[in-house]
Parts: sequence; structure tokens; C-alpha cells
Amino acid sequence: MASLVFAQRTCFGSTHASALTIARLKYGGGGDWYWGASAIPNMLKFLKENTNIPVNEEEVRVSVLDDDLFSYPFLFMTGHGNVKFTDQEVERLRNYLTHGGFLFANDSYGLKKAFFQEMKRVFPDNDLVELPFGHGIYHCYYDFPDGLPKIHKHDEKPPQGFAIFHEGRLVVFFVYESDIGDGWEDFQVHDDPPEKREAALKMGTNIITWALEN
Amino acid sequence: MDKNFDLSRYAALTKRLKALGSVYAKNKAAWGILFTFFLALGFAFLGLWLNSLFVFPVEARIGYLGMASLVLVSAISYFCLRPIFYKSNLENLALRLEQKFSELNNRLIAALQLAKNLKENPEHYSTDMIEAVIEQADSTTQKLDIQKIIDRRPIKKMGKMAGSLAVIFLIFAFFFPTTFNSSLYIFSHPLTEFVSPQKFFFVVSPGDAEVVKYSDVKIKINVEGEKPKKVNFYWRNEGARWNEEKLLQKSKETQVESPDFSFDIKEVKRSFDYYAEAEGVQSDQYKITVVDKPRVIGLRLTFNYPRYTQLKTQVVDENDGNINAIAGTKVQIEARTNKDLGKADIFFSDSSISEMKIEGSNAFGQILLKKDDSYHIELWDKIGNKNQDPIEYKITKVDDQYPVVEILEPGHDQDLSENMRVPLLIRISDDYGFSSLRLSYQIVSEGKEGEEKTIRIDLPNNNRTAMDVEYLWNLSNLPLLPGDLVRYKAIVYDNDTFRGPKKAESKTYSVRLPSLDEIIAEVESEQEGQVEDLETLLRGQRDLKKKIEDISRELDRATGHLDLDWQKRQQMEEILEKQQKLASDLKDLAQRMDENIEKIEENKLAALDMLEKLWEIRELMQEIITPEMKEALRKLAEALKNLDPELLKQAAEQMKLSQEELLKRLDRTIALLKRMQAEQKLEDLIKMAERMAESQDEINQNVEASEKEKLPKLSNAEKHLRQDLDSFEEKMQEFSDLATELSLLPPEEIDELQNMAQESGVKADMGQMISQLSEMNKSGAMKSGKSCSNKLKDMANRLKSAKEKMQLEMKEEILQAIKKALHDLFDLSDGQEGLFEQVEQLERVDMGLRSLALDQQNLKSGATRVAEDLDTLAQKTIFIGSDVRRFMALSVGSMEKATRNLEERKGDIALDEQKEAVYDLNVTARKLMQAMNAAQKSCSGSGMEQMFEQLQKMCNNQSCINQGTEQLGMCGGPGMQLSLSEQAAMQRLAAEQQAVRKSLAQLENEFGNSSEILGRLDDLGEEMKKVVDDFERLHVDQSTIERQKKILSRLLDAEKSIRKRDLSKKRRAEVGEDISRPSPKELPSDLFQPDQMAKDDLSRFLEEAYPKEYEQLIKEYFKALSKERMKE
Repeated sequence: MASLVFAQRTCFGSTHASALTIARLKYGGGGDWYWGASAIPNMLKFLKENTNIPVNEEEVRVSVLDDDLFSYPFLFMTGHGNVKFTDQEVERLRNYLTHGGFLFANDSYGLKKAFFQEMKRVFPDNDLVELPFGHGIYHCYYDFPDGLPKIHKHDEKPPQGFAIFHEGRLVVFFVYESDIGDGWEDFQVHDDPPEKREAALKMGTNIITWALEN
Repeated sequence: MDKNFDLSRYAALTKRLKALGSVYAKNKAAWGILFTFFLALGFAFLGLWLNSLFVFPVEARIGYLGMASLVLVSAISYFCLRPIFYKSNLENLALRLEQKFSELNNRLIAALQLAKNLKENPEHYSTDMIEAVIEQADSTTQKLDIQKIIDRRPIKKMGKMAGSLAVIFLIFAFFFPTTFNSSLYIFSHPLTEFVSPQKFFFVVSPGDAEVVKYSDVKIKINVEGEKPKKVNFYWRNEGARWNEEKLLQKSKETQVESPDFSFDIKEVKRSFDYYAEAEGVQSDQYKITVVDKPRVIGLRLTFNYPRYTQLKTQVVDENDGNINAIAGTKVQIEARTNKDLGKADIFFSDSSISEMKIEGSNAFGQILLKKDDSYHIELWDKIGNKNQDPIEYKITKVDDQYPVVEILEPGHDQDLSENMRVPLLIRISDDYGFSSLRLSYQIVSEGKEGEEKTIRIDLPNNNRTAMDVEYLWNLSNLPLLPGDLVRYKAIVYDNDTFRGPKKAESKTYSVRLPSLDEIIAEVESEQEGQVEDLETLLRGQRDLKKKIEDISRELDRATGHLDLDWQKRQQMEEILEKQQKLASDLKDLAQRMDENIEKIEENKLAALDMLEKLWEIRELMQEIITPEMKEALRKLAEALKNLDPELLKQAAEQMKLSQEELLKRLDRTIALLKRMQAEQKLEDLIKMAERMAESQDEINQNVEASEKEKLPKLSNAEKHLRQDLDSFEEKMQEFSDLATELSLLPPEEIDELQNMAQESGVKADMGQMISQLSEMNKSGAMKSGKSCSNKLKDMANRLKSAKEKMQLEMKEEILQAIKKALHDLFDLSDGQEGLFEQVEQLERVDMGLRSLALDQQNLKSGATRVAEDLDTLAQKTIFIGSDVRRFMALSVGSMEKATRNLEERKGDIALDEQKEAVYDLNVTARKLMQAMNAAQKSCSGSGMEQMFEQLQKMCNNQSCINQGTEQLGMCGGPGMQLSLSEQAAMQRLAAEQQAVRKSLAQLENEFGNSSEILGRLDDLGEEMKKVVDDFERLHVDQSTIERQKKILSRLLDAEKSIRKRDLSKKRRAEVGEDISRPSPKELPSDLFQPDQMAKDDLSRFLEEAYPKEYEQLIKEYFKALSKERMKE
């Protein structure tokens, strides 16, 4: 891909229109939303070095009910264990996602069950569907012919990418048994080999570019 | 002056005046001192006051001090010193006195002025007068208190003023010491530059502080003094530039309990410096140091399961703190954190706490799992910061499940077979293993339930959680009578030592001990039923054949278009339906036959070679519907569906041909089945005769052992036996009919057998014995009994001879037939080769080829006859398998093609076909020779029966050895002393095991080719050798016992494999699943389709709660919109 034009959705705040940052979603329920301190800065750095996307390398943290939620077109959610949204959060998150927002959720292990439950509340009529390997998100910037890279072992199951579509647009992307988020972290955190980290960052680039361009 | 004047009076006067002047000057000086003091205090006070307002610069201070000093010096000079040094002259004093004292009447001043004229008297005043004036003045002044002219009130006044000021000064100094001291300091250091005092100053909180990373920090700025309207707040991260933020004073409403100015910083990440500034006034610079809260960055759980579970310690290093384990599990928790810790605790949901051990940044704790719970880890760093929002992990206690036991085989109530053994296959499963397995049984005899007993079934000591346990239950030692029932069930106990073993019971089944007659009757009835059913099917198929032929003819007659009326379609559909039903009926029959064969097998009602034949017939039954018939049926169904006339014609034709083959096969199956039925009946008769002989012997023994009085009771047993004989005769009649029909034996021999019982007089002997027993004639009864026994045995022997003869004749017939077929095949092969050579010598398109076609046609006819002979032979023997017939059919096919090509003078192609024909003929011959060998073996007495017997014997021996080993227990080995008897026992067992090993080797030599029947015994010899070695080394351990069990199990498998085909289970290693996988299926297209989008829009609109009457309109609108989108 020769160049990438960063097309910011109009409904998001103009203050952030010139530089992308990844907003870490603070969620309730007890899961460690703060997991992976070095992940987002590393991802943004990689994005800066490898794409034309203007990037603000500092991580932003945002809750669903924060006033400035709509300032961030790309939400990153990670952690282990439980996720719980209040009714108000469910409503707001739905608004956010149906008005141009994108949620990338990384299952760092044990998040799937709760996430699926909560997403069912956010989108009662839309299921999380597994994306086939031919989907654009696996090919839009870097090519992943076999779908998601397997970064961490977890239950030794094949990695799966699930998505929710709203009006044909992919609004939620949930990564299971892959742990891309951990792959973004500093190498000394998990002792991941360079190729694994690179694959995670490349897949992250795909997810971000797909979220911004579609 | 000539006259000497008396100047004493003058001197006294002046002296008096001078004294007055001195006092006057002192008075003045005293006032001046007080005044100067007052001025000094004034200057000092003024200086202090001004200094409290602002700090003078050095110049001003010096100026002020200079001026004050000048004034004070001037004041001292003028008011203190000058009155002393420049005293008032006497005249002035005199004037003041004159003013004060009027009685002086200017005499004093006159005296002073005139006194000057006493020496020089230019005016020439009277000296006397002058002296008189002086005298008067002197005398007057003497009388006066001249000091009254000195006014002391100014001194007092000034004293009061200076005193007051001094007191004020002291009070100021006392109450404002700082200001006083400061001013004093400032003024005492006139050359030192001092900052001017501020209008206000800042009170900043938290000042220098440590805060936790990502916490919010509020900087509070309060102003003491005149509050500025705005304050500039400056901050910078370490090494960065200063940032500025203008802070406005908060409105009065919000000022309650809040600082004057404040600045909020959310989620501080890095340390920073800061200060406030306003109107040139600046606060001190402070530093907020950001410290990270302790948090868990990695969790490793080590599960130490209770010992009884035999589970290995499991380490879960996935940062998942949820615990899901069996009660009693000790879970070691290792929490890796981001910083050195001061303290760490595990908090449980019931508020109990478990302290964790700290090592640097790691914390270690342990949880003993007793109940469902939850926990979280609280951490404190060295400065007391606590971790934020610790994750609550679940503790889920997994209960040790109850074991499950199921009796898979037999898995139903059944009759006990002759060997009085019930092979049980018991499936047990538990989550953590078992402690014991028992078989519980209870005899029910004549409706009375006996005591419940149990048998312990050994379990392999391999800690498995699920297994199928085979147990051959021997009921021969139980006191069972025909008709008795044994109820049984399996009971398994798990190995839960935490709460005690839990037990589970299987469903209760029963085995019944039937009488032999019952079994025989049942088997025969079933066989007869099968034959009847097959004959019914045959009749039906014959009718169907006619119908198929009729329809086929009609279809042939129809030219051009085919008018397929409703009736014809009905007829064809009926054919289709009937044929499909036939397939189903045959399947059912085969199933019934399976069950019957099993019963025959269990009760040893037939020899093994006969069982083989029965299996063969069963397979024939399944092959009655040929592949061609299946294809014809498929085509017919298709033709009926499409109403395609051409296809219908073809299907009908194919049906006609297949139907002929089907009828042929049905005929063949019935023939074979009847033949088997006859053989079975003969076998049953032998069994019955033997059984009657045994029963007679038993009665005889009882008669011999009984007292006379008890003899009548035994007559009943003899009566039963006579009834059995009646039944025997009936069956003999049935056999005779069948044998006659099938020409199994010469008619005269059949007659002899039929009349055997009658002619022997056994029935009469039995009657006589019954009378003698009733009459308590013991010797007579014994004699009659013996006679009966001999006659019955004789009958059994004669029947056996008849059977052997029948088999021998059958064997001879089959062998002859095979030999003949072989001979024919060799002739055909020779002929075909000769013809091949002739064709090869001719020109490729020679006219002579056509003449050779006739020869080829003759060869083909011969081959067809051989094929038919083989088909007929296949009706009589199981050894002519389908492969023999298939190759023969291929050969015929090749010859036919060769004939056609020769007629068409296609020599090259004909040669190829001839080659094929020769090859197929040779293969057929080779297979036929193999069949002949097999047939010879089967009838020789060293066939399957012998192999089975040998294996059975080996199984029994191995079972005894295993039992002996277990009784001996695990003993021996290094350092263990065995008793002499133990050593002897081991040597004996070694010899026995060696014998079994030899038998195995012998068996393998004899039946090496039948390995597929024997099962994989190839490595058993090696296993047996190891057992022998163990015995010889006098060292028996668990592995020896396990090995022996394996040997026995394999031998039993081999035995079973002979009894029943395809029984042996082949275990295959599980293939692990690869993590790579095919792509998930494509997404449903409606995810992207406008239709879906329209639906979404619609649902969104409808959510807006429009009036009911509009809803329909909205729906219509979106429907139209959806259509529009679809068009796009």
C-alpha cells in the first residue's frame, strides 16, 4: 500500500483530527483494563514509522461515559477476566459505535465470555461473527493469508477474529486466542520473539487502518 | 576713675546672676536632651513604620538615617550644647528678672549697665548713684527667688512626650518583634539591600509531595494578603520546558471551603515541578513526584492436587488467577508485581486474610481449596501505596464426581450358555480413578431370592480414570438349576480419600440358565422362521419377476412416444417399493441370523466349521441385492421421477436381468440355509442324545446312592428323560424329512437313524425303570438305567458317525467339484493360449480371424459353464468366495469381447482381450486351488476347531498361571529372601509359562497364515519369555502381573476372534489436531446487503415511537427503499 490517507470521521472531535491516538477503554467489572502499559505507545510508534498516519504517541485513557469519548475514533480494550457495562454505558457505547467509533478488543485471556455477553447487550440483534481469512482486515496493509497471527499460547486453540457489523461497517473486532495486545508490549515483558511482536504490530496496523478507512 | 569703688556688691550681684544663668542653661539643655530623645524616638518609630510598609532601598535608608542623624546632631548642638556653652548674658537674665519681678524696677538692668561706667564713665554718671543702684539691685535680688524665672514646664512636657513615645515604641517592639527586629536589622545594615516586603504571599499545597501514578492531583493555592485577581501556575515535567496556566480567582459562591486558586491534573503520569506567581510575587517551587502503585503484572498458580487424584502438579502461568480445582487442592500463588513490595495479602470474600510472603517484587501465598469463594490480592509498596482495583478472582470448588459404571456386554438379560460363563465388559469412569470394582450377584431360584454376594474384580494399577474392564464371570460353581436366574450388577468405588470412596452401581441384569431343549427349540424355530421368510420373499420375487417382464415387454412394444399412464406408473412404483422392502427384510433377516448364530455359538450347538458356514450364508443374505439390482432400482426411481421413457425402458430391462440374478441368489441362500438347518438339526440331535445319556448316568448314580425308600422320587427324573426322548424322536423326524429333501444321506441311512430310538428299545427301558423305581426295585432300576445309558450313548455315537459321514461326503463332493472346475479351467487356459498364438500368427486383418472367432465363442461357452459350476459349488461351500467368481466372470467378459473383435477382424484388440482372459483364468485357478486347500483343512479335523481348542486350552493354562502368580504376590527382587516353598512355586510357574509359550509357538507354526483370525499374537511369545525370566530370577513385581494379564487378554482376544469375526478391537493412536485450520465460512451476505441496512434503519425508526398509524407507512417506505437499494 503506497500511502494511507487518514480520513477522520466527521463526528469525532476536530482537536484530534490531525493526529491519531489509541484510547484505552476503561471498563468496569474487575478486568484489568490497564493491562499492558507499553502496548499502545509501541503500537503508535510502529504506526508512525510504518504508515503515513499522523500519530500522537501518548496513550489516552477513556471511560465510556467520559465527555471526550467521541474524540477518539479508535478504542482499545484488553485485559483478563470480567467486563461489565452499566446500562448507561451500553447505550453510550452503542451510540459511539454506530456513529463511527471502532472498538478493538484483545482477549489477553479469559475475556471472551464476558465480552460476548456484554456485546450482546450493546448489539442485541448483531452477533459476533468470525471473520473469514479473506476479509480485508487481514490484508488491508499487511497480508495475513491465514488470518490472525498466534502470538500467545493460551489454550493452544487456533486464533479467531470475531466482528460485529453495523450497517455493513465493522465496528467491533474481538481477537481471541491470539493476544495481539500482548504482542505490542516491550519485548522484555513477555519475552516474545521479534517475529511474534512484529506480526502483532503488523496485525494491529491492519486493524487500525481498516477502522480508519472503512 | 579716681575713686575706689566698692564693687563687692556688684560682684555679688553678678555672681548671683551668673548662677542663675547656669541654672537657666542647664534647664535649657535638659529640655534639649529630652527633645532630642523625642526626635530620635520619632525617627526610629517612623523608620519602623515605614519599613513595615515597604523596604527602603539602601539610598533611602542612608538618606533617612543621615537626615535623622543630622537633625539629632543639630538638636543636640542647638538644644543641648548651645545652652550650656552659650549661656545667656547677664543683661538678658536681668531683663527676664525685671520682667518677672516688677519690684526690681529696672534697677537690676540699670545696675549692670551703670556698673560699666564706674571705670570709664563717659556719660559721667554719678558713681554713687551707680553704687546705690547696684546696692539696691543687689539687695532686692537678694530678697527675691530669682530662679523663679526658670520655667520647668517645657521639660516636663517634653519628658512626657518622649516618655510616651518610648512606651509606644516598647509596645510596638514587644508586639511586633519581627517587624521591629527586621526593621532594626534593616536599619542596622544600611548598606545591605533588602527586598521590599510583599503585598501577599502564597500558601501552596500539597507542596512537595509523592502521588500515585494515574491518580488525580489538585494543586491548591491560597493567598495570604491582598489577593490578586489571577495567578499564573507554572509546571514542567522533568527536563521539559515550563508550561503556564492562568488561574482565575474563584467566585465567592464557590469559595466556601475551597482554595483561592486551584489546578487539577488528571491521572498524572510523570513527576513535575511547579510554582505559582502573581504580580511579581512567586511561591516557592515544589515538586510532585509520581510513584507507580504496586500492581500485579504476572500471576503463576501452582496446583497441588490431593494425592488421591494422582494428578501431577500443574503450573498455570497464564495470569489467570481464577481457581477451578477439586476440594483439597493447595494452590500456590506467585504474584509478580511491578515494584518492590512492603506487604501483600490475599483477601477472601468472607473478609479473611492470608498474608503473603514477600521477596522483592514477588509475593507468594497459598490457598487451600475448601469451598467456592473468591479472592483478590492487595499489595502495598514500601511507602504504603496500595494497588488499585485488584481483580477479584473466583475460586470454584470442583466436586469429586461419583463414578459411573455400566455393563456394556452383555448389556441385556440373557440365557446362560453351556460353558456357564458370562463375558462381561464393564465400563467404569471417574474423574480421579477407582479404588475397587465388584460384581454383586444374587441367585433367584423358583422365585426365591438368595443372598447377595460380591466378587472383587481386579483393576489394572494404572491410575486411569476411564476403562473398559473385561471379566469372564464363571458361574459353573454356582448351584444353579435350569430355570434359575442370577441377577447381577457392577459396583464401582472411586478413590476419594478426602471424603471417602463414593460408589456407583450399574443397571441390574440377569442371566438365566435355560435347559438345552429350550435353547435348541429356540434356535431351530428361528432357523425355520428364517427359511420360511426367505421362501416367502422368493415367492414374492417370482411374482415380481413376472410383473417386471410384463412391463418390460410393454415398454419394448411402445414405439415412438411412450404413454406412461397412471396404472403403469403405479405398477412400477410398486416394484420399486417392493424391492426396497426386500432389501430391508433381508437386512432384518441377517440381523436375526446374527443373533441366532451367537446363540448357537454360545451353547456349542454347532462345530466351528458349521458356524463359518452360517456366517457365510448370513453374508450371502446381504449380497442377495446385487450392486446391479441396486443400480437398476436407482435408475428406475430416477426414470419414474423424470418420466423419461428411454430411461424407463433401460431401467426395466436392467431390472429384469437383475431380478433373475436375485432369484438365483435367493434360491442359493435358501438351499444353503436348509442344508445348514439340516446339519444343525443333526448337531442338535447329537447334543440331545449326549445330554440324555449324561442325565441317565446322573439318575443312575442317584439310584445307586439312594436308599430304596427314596427311589420313587427319582422316577420323576426318569419320566422327564422319557419326555426328552419323545422330543428327540420328533426332532429326528424333522431331520429325516430335511435330509431326504436335500439328499444329504442315502435314504436307507436316514431311515435307520429315524428308527434308531424305537429299535434300540430305550424308550421301553425307560418305562421299565420308571416302574422299577416306583416299586423301589433298586437292582432292576439300576440295570434298566445302565441299559438306557448305553443305548442313548450308542444313539449319540451313531448320530456322530452319520454326521461325520455326511461331512465326509460333502467334503468329497466339494473337492471333486473344485477339482473338476480346476481341470476345466486348465483346459480353458490351454485353449485360450493356443488360440492366442493362432491369432498372433495371422495378419492383423486376415479373413481367418473370423473363423477363429468361432473357436473363441466355444471357449467362452466353456468358461460360462465353469462359471455356472462355480456358482453352484458356491451354494455348497463357503470356500468358493466372491473373488473366485469375480475373476471367472472377468474372464468370460474378456472372451466375449475377444470374440466380437475377432468377428470384426480387429486382431490387435482381440489379442489384448485374450491376454486378459488367460490372466483372469489363471487367477481364478490359483484362487480355486487355495479354496481347495482350505476346504481340505476344514474337514480334516485339524481346522478351526483344533485351533480354537488349542487356544482355549492355552487361555485356561494362562489363567491358572496368572492366578498362581497373584496368590504368590509380589516378592523377590534384590535383597529379598524367598522361602523355599516360594522359590519352588516360582519355578513351577516358570515351567508352566514356558509350556504355554511353546504351545503358542506351535500354534503360530500351524496357523501362521490365519494371523488375521488369531489377532496379533506375534509379540506375545516375547512377553511370555519376559514372564519366564522374571520367575527364573525369582523376582515378581507388578509389571510381571500386568504382563500376564496382557497375555491372557490377548489370548482371549484370539479365542474370540475365532468365535466371531471382526470382534478384535484395533486401537489406533489418536492423531493430534493441528492448530492451523481452514478459513471460517464466508460471512453471510446479508451483513452487507442494503436489505439488512434497510431493516436496521426501519427498526431504528420504529424505536422512535411513532404513532401506530404511521408505523405501516414507515414499513412501506423502507420496503421501497430496500428495493431501490437492491436495484442499485
